[in-house]
Amino acid sequence: MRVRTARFGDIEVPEEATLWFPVGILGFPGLGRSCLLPHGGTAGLRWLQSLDDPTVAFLTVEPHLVFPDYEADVCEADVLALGIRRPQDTALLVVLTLSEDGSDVTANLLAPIVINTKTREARQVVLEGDRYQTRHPVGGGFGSVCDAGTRAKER
Amino acid sequence: MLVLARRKGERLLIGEDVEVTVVSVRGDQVRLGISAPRTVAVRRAELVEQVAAENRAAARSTYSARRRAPCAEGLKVSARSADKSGGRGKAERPMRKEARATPEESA
Repeated sequence: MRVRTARFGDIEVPEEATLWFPVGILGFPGLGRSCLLPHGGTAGLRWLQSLDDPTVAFLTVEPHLVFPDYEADVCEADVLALGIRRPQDTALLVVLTLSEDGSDVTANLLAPIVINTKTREARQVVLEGDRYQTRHPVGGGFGSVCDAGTRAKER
Repeated sequence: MLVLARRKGERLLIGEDVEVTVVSVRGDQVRLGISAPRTVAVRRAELVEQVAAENRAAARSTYSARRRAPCAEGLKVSARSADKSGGRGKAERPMRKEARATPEESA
């Protein structure tokens, strides 16, 4: 299906890449239908592009590629809300914030996006406790995120 | 907003399923106990707001940094659907001549 985007122009996206956010994500309650786009050749990095608003997109990464010890203790209410029956039906993404020149990157480990891979439904959850924050520096900046993705692809 | 005064030990019943108890009061800090169904998430408001603000910053940051941040290459308007494997093939030319951070380049 053709998707209009502010960052990439008009692009062609397979239906299977679509996600549904029933309550959007925090600050973007209308996110609704979105799709995950591959990043330019780097596995593990995904653009989360809104299908309804071309200007809204987030760069995300599979957290364990960059933070191998990350433990997302998702509360029961969120697991139930997503209808996740088995842990293997879950995928996690964390939202990245870039500095102006794109060299510094932080990851929001406090509020991962949790995806039910069976239903393609997704929510952003806020983890309990104070172990994580919204801005965890990714040492080595954007390059190291790409490196981690490349290493994952090679494994 | 409904404003009620409660003393230590007193409770509020919210809807059919939520109960809030004032567990203790010490100085300007109140300890609240929440009983709610498993389906109801209870979160600290300032955390939720902080996450919302960070999401907005994140979305803005990828737009303003788009000249540096590699975009989803290989996705063109065409009859062919996008490569699901994450752009492994190099058959498509990038839409824009953007600097693409590869492992060889430093960020």
